[in-house]
Amino acid sequence: MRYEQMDASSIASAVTRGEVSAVEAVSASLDRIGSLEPRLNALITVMEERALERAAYVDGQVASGCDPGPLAGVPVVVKDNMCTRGVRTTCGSRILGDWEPPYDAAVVELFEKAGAVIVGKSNMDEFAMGSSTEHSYFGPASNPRDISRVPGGSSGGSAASAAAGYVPIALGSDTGGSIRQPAAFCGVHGLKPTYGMVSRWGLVAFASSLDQIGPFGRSVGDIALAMDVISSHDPRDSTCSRRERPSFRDGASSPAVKGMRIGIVREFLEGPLDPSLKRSIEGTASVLVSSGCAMVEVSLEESASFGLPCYYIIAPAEASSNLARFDGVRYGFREEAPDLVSQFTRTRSSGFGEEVKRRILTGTFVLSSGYYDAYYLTALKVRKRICEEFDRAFRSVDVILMPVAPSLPFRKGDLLDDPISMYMSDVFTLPVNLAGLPGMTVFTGLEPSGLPTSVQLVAPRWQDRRLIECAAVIEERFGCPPVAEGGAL
Amino acid sequence: MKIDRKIVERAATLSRIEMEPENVEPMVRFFRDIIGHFKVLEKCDTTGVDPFSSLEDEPCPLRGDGPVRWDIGDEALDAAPHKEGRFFQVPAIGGEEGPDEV
Repeated sequence: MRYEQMDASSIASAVTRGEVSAVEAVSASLDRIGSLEPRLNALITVMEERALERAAYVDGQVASGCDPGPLAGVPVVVKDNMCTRGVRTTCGSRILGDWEPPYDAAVVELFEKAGAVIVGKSNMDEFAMGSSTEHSYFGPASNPRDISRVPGGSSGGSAASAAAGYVPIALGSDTGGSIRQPAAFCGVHGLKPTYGMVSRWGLVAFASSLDQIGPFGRSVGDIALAMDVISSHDPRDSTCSRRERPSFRDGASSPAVKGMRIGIVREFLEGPLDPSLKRSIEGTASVLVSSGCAMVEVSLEESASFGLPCYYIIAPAEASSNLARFDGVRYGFREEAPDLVSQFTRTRSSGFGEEVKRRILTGTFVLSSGYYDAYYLTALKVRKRICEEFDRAFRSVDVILMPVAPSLPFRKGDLLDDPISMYMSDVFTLPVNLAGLPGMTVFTGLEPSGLPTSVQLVAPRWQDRRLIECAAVIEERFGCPPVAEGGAL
Repeated sequence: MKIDRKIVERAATLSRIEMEPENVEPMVRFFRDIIGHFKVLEKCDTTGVDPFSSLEDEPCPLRGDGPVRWDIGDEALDAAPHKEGRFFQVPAIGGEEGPDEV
């Protein structure tokens, strides 16, 4: 049985029926990781022992007639900014290099309760700040579709793990595009849910008004299955909504898109955009029209013009505040010093990488006396305008269709010394975070070069199921993402 | 506004980050670039716009107002680089000889 080709629901069904064991499925995943990881570096920690113990527990449940859950025996990967009790959670940083949290993140609890088996913690840009997974203390990850290229970021290791067939489902976090852009670069699907849909308890915070956890997968059905498991109210996260969640799996299996109005954003197609990605938008529009949708042109002029500078004020400002807690006192790395302030300074200077320092300094600057009104307060007002602009657009359309990133995956090192150009990778994704909306990357095919193309779908808040429905229709036409061989000879 | 070493060094001091001398000038250049981008926001008409505070489609769900017992103090202390008994151990604020407890 080729487990790397199977989707999560097939593995879970086979385990639940006793046709295969969870230990067998998880061992196959660990073997795949063992053979490809030297080339991909998609994982910071492989959890072999805990995974096999957990798989044996799932097999025990099946043997005793208990319901092992909808993800029974399914190997999964979680980004290394989600706490795992007793297993190091590094955030890709030296400063948390050996930190073992005393508790599990809510999504980890929910996945394990559903029978999933976590096989690894994925590589990421340090503290989720980056678009290429090159800013990791544990070395850069590679794109399994072309190992000379980046997998995107910051959840590049999770996207690569799903694309390379380590696992059918991986979890990432998205503050400005960190699920959707790596999903596009690695050629898988990826969903950033509505802000407040998924609990962030146990997610190490980057920018708290923007962060959200979501799944990667190689089928829309698996994305829906993961969403059904992780989207629920959690009183431990005060931003996590009490609102009732829909069945995402029903949306994937019975998509009702006929009559939907799909918005095409003029401004996003007029700027720099790889021709293959423009063709992908046009092809997807044709598929949706042939399924009974109507195309409507919408304008998001302010989001297009002001989204990027607005984001790069607000996110670093929140980061500078959130990352103030890393001082070498309570956890993580400490650089010894003769007095307390020197200890803080030495610890942070040695513990953080260059990109994190850039963002902390930027955030501190925009919040500092004399500059707060000119930058941070202005950005908050612009953010309000961007929210209102999306609200206006959604009065005339049900879903917006737009690009994920301006380019196909770039080569490692190409943008490493040019942070502003790297930031441009997120120009289409970060307005969605500013407005708290759900957004989804949907795979649309492979170019002759083997590099993937995709589109981004965006819906009004709490209408995440619409994304799943549209994605199911698009997948029916373009097919599921194939497993990448990760540079294997 | 002139972006120079002084601005970068002030932000670094406030951030409790020490800049290596060779990294200051690249950070000044970065600040000039990124703040140049920020200036685009001046073109956005924000007259009469309230600053964003939260997504307003529902009130913040509140927890029950009751005491909760947390028994992970020992585990939390285990993660500290240095501890003594039930305390995190750090050097003295003023730099006196030897570590002090806070």
